[in-house]
Amino acid sequence: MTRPGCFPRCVDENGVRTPAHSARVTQLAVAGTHLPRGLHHRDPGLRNCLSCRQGENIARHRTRRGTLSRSPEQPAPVHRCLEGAQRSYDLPGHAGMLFAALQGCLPAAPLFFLCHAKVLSQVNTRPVTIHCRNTRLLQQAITGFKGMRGRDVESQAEREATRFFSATPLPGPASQQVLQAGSEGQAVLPGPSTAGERKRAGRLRKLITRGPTRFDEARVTSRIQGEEFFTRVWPEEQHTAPSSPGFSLWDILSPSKSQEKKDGEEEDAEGAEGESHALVGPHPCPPTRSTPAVYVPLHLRRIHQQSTLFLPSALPSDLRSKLEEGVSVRDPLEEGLYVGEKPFLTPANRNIVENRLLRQNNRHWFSETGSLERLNTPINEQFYHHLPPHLQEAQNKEPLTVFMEPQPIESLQDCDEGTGGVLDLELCGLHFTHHPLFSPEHVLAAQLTQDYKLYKQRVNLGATRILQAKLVVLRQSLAKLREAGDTTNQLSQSLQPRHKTAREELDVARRLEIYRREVKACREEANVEAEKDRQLLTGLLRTWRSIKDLRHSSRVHATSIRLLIRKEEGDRAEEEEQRKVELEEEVREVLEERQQEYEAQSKRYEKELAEWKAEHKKRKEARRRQEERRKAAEEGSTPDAQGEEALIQVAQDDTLLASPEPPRPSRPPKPPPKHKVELEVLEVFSRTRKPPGEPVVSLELTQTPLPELHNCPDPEKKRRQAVAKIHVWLRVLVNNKLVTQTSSTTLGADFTLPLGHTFRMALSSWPRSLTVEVVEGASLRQTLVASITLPIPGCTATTKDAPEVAQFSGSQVVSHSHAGVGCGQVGSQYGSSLTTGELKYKLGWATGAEGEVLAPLGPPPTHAAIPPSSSTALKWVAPPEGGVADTRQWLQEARLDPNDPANAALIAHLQKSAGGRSVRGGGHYLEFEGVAGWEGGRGGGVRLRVLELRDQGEPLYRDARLVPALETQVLRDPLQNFERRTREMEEEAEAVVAVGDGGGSGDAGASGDGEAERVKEVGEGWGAELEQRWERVEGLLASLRRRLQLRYSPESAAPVLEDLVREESIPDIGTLGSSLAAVFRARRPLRPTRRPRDRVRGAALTDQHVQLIVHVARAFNVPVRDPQQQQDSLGGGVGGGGDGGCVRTLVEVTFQRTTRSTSVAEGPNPTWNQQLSFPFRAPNDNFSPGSLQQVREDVFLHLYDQVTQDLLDDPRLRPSTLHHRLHHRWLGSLTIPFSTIYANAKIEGTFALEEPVMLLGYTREHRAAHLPASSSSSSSPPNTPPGHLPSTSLATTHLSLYITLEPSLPPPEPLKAQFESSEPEEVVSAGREWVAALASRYPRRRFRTHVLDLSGRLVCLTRYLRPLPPPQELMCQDSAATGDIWANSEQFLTLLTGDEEEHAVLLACFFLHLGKTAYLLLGSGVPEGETCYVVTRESDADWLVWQPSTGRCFSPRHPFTPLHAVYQLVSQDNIWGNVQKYDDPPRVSLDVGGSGWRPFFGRGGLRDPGLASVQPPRLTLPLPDPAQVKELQERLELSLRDAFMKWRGTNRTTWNRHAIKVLRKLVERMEETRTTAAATAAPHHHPSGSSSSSLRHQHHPNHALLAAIMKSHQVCGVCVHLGYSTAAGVVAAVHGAGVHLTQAPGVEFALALHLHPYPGQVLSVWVYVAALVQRF
Amino acid sequence: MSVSSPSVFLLSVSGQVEAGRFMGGDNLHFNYCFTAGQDWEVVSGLEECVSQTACCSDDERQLFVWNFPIDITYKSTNPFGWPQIILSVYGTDFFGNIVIVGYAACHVPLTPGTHTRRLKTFVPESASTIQKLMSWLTGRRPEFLNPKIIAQGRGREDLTDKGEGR
Repeated sequence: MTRPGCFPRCVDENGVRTPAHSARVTQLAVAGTHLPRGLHHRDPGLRNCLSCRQGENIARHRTRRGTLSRSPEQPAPVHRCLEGAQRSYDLPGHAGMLFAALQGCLPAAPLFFLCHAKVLSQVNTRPVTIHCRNTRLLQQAITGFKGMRGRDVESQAEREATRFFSATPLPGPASQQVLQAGSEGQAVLPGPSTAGERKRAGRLRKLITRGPTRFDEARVTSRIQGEEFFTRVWPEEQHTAPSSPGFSLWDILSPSKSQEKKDGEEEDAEGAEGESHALVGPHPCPPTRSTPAVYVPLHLRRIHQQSTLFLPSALPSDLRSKLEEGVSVRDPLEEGLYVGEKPFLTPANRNIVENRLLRQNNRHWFSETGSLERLNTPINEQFYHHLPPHLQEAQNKEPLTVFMEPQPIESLQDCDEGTGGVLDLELCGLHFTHHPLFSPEHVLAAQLTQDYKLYKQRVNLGATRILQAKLVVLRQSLAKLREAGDTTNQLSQSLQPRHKTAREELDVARRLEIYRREVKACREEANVEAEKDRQLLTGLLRTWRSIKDLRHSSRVHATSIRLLIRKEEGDRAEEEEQRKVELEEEVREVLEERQQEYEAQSKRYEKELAEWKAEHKKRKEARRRQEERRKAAEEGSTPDAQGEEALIQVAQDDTLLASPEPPRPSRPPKPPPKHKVELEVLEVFSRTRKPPGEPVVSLELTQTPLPELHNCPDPEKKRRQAVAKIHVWLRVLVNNKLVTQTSSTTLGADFTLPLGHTFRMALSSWPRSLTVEVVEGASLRQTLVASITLPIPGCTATTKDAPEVAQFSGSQVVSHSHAGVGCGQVGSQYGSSLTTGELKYKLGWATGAEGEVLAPLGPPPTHAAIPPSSSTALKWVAPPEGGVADTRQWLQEARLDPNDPANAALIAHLQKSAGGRSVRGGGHYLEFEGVAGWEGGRGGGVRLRVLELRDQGEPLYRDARLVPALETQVLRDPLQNFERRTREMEEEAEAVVAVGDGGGSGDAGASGDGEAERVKEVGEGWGAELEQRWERVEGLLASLRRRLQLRYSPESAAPVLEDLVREESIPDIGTLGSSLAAVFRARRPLRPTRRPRDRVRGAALTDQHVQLIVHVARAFNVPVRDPQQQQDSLGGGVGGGGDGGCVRTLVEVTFQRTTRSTSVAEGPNPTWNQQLSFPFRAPNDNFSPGSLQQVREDVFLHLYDQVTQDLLDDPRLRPSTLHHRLHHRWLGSLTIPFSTIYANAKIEGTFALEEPVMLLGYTREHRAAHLPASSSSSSSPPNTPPGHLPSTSLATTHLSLYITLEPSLPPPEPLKAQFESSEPEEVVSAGREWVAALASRYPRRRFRTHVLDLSGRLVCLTRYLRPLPPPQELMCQDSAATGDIWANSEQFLTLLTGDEEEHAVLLACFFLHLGKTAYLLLGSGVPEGETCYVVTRESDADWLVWQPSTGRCFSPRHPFTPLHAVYQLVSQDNIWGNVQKYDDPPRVSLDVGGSGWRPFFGRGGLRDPGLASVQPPRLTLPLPDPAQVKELQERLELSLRDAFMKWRGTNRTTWNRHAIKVLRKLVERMEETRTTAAATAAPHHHPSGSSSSSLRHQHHPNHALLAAIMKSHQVCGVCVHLGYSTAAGVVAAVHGAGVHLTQAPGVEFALALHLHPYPGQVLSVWVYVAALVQRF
Repeated sequence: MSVSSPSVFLLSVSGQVEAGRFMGGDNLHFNYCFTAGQDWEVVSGLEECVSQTACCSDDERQLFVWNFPIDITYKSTNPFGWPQIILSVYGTDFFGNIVIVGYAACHVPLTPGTHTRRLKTFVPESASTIQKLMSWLTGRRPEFLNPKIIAQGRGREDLTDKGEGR
């Protein structure tokens, strides 16, 4: 029975209400306060209505109206109803529940009922109206509902459920039922009966039982607002709605009539009031009644529809209507403001929305532009996460802990397939913008193209246009503001009170000022832009003209480029007019600005002038007063009578007059007259605007096909051939490794290379670099044109659609004979530019099958993700470096456009920093402070710290194994000590470096004094302090060394292929030839030659057994036992030959606590020829050069005389019995540091032994004359001064040795790192060249001009030398090597440690002061390796070489010099490199004037730049305190004795006091004898030939002291002399003497020690140890 | 793996090198060695071993079966530097020289239980073609000075390796 065209509508029961039912019938389909909801039926037979309404609501209506409240008669479209119902379903409450119940009852039934709920005041009490048109459904619904209501309602519902009343006058049976449910019923609602409903009902119940929350309220309000939005279409009817208690069809059809009717009905309702009260009560009765169906004709309904419904039009609305009155349309785009892209909305939809809003008269929705105000993007950048309330609480207190699932191990294992990234690189094309094969036309064309691109860009951007439009707008606003200001002024004068005006005026003035400034800035900017435009245009046209000229002159088209020029003629008169207006305006503005400027300036001027005048006046008065006082003083009157005030006055006057008078401020210049300004503006106009009448030019660049060349000139033809020949290809390198390359292609005529290759690269980790190399080649040769480093894409970057462009440029210089212009040629017209071009590429990570980005795992390297430069808007105003306040200030001044996305990041940051967390939406977002958590344990994490230090390679922890797992087990003390020491060391190192700087800069006087003080300070605490200082110095050196290592560690750390892989080397001609020659070489099996060994690289040596091999060959000039002494002192029983002068010697070698000794050989020149091998253990089994350099162990060689004592008492037993005691007597020793062996790979030669100063019981002199070796020494030049003869002769014992490592370890590579220098660059580079030139000719010789000083800077060698006055007494000191750092003498003496270089420098400086010709000799020697000696010139052809660390001197012609090779000589002014054929000292001529030396400065090299010396002018050496020395001496002696007794072990040590006393006397004189002996030997007091002279002085008067003891005792003693460094060193030296090994019964010992102090805390230690055996 | 005391944990590895499949060479033997970080110490077992020689099986599988046992126990305080086993396989070439056939390395499994690993081996390539020829003639192919470097990351940039066998 569906009626077509039947419009759904509201029904009201009022029209059919009977009086009997009036009490019950209250309301129907009340869906809102104003808007009723109706029931709409197509099938009247099934029309039902169920209404549920809260009684309270009705009661309120009643009390207000005094009658039964009626629904306003408002029909509503069906969809609104449905909408409401659906919304109510979502809500907790009756409506939703009922709806759900209905739906759940009939899951299969179509949704025929409509439901609507409206919340009036509270959430949990809401009326529900359900309209249903299915009786069965309704019944079931009610059954369901019945269950839900209370028992009291139940019966009523059952009774009335089937009673229906027809809701509308539509034909057919219709019924309606209105159910009302009180809020009380809710609490006792039982569960729904239907099983299918259970689930839903459960949810509903939950919602019900929950109390009303704030959330619900918010939703309700929002819904009410939403409802209001829809209802506001009919604002005028809202007022009438409450007044209509009921409605009928008639009301609907004629609203005017219904008004009258309502009045009548109100009386009816009055009577029903009592009954309707009952409805409100706890037992409401649902009213039901039937009404006959009424038919409304279609046309009537249409009319009604027109009056009530509104259909928004889809046509655009009128612009004016969208704006508020009095607001003019403006376009921010034209004003130069940024207008973002709005999300797309179809115009029709937009118009509908606009019209709807307009209909509601909501103009605030529209912006000034007349369009709907919309957000650029509704998507919020921020991710909001609503946390549950309990978490919100927690989050405020502490950061969230995130639980990470433990990963299965398999994923770690299998990661090698999955984790690597797949990088896609698409090379789209290559285009050269300059190429050596360009013809001149190409060059011009490239320029044209480039300019055109810029032009096009500028045209598109339209910056000038925008700026000019902005200027116009600003001017208008300014004008308007002025007008407004004027009017308000007038108004205020007439009407407003004063105070308000003042504020407004200020405001207006301020705004005016801002506008003026804006206008000025905008105008200037517009002018600049316009000028640029003009210049670009003229430039383009000029280039195009020259191209045309070129084409014309060469009659050939080399490029296909063509510029189209379109002209657009304008109206000249009009333009002139416009220009005039603009001109006038601008002139007026400029004039105004100038005037204002002038005013401001003159204001300032007046102020300044006033100040100045006041000042001037004060001065005048002061001067006058002074004058008066002077006069008074002259007259003789005393000023003191005037009192204190006068005195103050005098002082004030004096200060005032003493300060210079400020200059009188100058008057600001007058503003220029109008005609001048006009001229200026005109000039600007001529630059920036096109003259009137000139056509508007627009350009277009096109390509024309290149014409075939027929009569091409020859050079051009050649060029084209060359172009056709050349091939270009690209190579792709990842981490500098070639990955792939494109196929080579010839360049086209336009020098582009279309590529279009995509390379897919699988990378296992983040690439460090990604480079594309452009290579071109003709036939055979290929050249690298340029290399382009591409940015490595970030983790999420995939390939983009648009290719990116990378610019590149080559660096080579090319010139061609043909028409090609070449590149890089300075001064050429076209070829001056370098090869440049562009590469178009796409780069990104590939995406996997599921769309995931296949970037490698792990964080990208720091430099990888370079964000695209998005700060285009900020390019021109870079924010200042500074604090937050500065930045904020700058931002306020910069006035960024907050809408521009280019500034978005900045603005967002600002907002965040300004408002803290007050972000839109108020949601919380998660913040992780991940790293901080790890850092937190930094202070407490001892274990972590230890592990870190180990990782950094700190010496203390480098070898630490099994660092405890628990924090508590890690030893804290060493770490704390270490940290403290590190800090101290750093400070000390800085201090020393500072001294070095001070010395280097020349003004060493001051710093020297400071240093002296420091030294004194250090010196005060002698004793233990000395030890500590020693430790500190050691630490300081270690830190210096570490610093240096840090510098070059990256270079040296990376192992090369040879370190890792063992491989046969490629045979070259040399090796092949020599191997062939070896076949034919004569065999000499008796003369084996040494074969060079393969070098073993360090990295491979972990498991190898490295051995140190010491081959002891022979010794010369060993002292022999004194026959005279032997007989009476040592008694009989000495084994060996009957010859009294016999000695049985053996060599004992100690290395790394392993001791081996040779067999015994006899005679003063024994020969052993024995090889001793020692296992070598590298620290921590690390055989890398870096760790091997740290080995500080030495090889000790001791020469002993083995004395056999016959212990056999009974001579009768002698033939059958042997009872001997072996006793070793120390004759000398030699110490060779392992570092020397390591650096030189082998040590071979004859070395002088360090001998005891005094050797009792041995003699050498009378034998020495017979030595074959000494004959050579006596053949030394006869003109040698007699004083030097003993020192150069073979007076000392020499030992021939060969020491090496097996297998040979590679020597450390010399530093290649570049160090900075404070010297001029040309000196440093010249030095480099000089060294390189010499090194290529003499590869074995090491040359250098610059060395590193303590601060790690290169210093020229000559700067180290300077005449220095030596102190009264001085002795150099032997100590540990510092590596390759050169300290100046002051630093050296401060540190009291240095190697040969420091000693030599100091010695040379002293020699220079003494007026000798002295040179520093750099060479190679033993046992030091690379070393430094001092050479002095004694006479014309006679030189002396001084070994600075021991103080010996010898002639260079001496056969057994420790010096083996001479590389270079250094004087104060110059450096000479040895270019002679030989470098061994006897054969080297030391005359630097000769041809055998190549100077560094002069002779074609660079001039001496006259660099200041790094040495201080003089050394301040404090004298030590004798008391402290005494104390130290006593302490040392005690500790020595203790140590001595300990060495003796179980044997008892008896001290002979008498002997000790004697020895002490003896030892005190040792230093005297030594210095005096040396002083006689040389004018310089430096010790020389100490041992030999002592030996000669054996029978010195001192010796007589011993005679008494020697009468009664056999004395065997050793005197040890050394420089003091540490107590341990002294003890070790005494231990080396081996006196404690004496095992004779009844042996007594004597030990005496003497310290001789020298200036600068240098101490000379003399120890005399003797073993005494009582004579019988 | 068991925790014996609060400060040290023990890692006990036992297993065997079962079989290998190699394209070239015959009479293969291998030696294995373990390498571990500084905080690791061998408690018992052999760090390095040389296996017996195995011949290629006659069937179609062409396997070299060693079934060589591995047994080692470490103690450590720090999982950093987890032990790795390094295998270097040697065999005879055409002239009867013993040449390197392959290197392989893998970490000791991190979880207790039985694990099976298939390792791919590789050998360093000759630096140039001439050297390749020379090495073939002389029977001295390029090999690592110390096979332990394949367990390190350092200095591997300069190597070009050739995958071979597994």
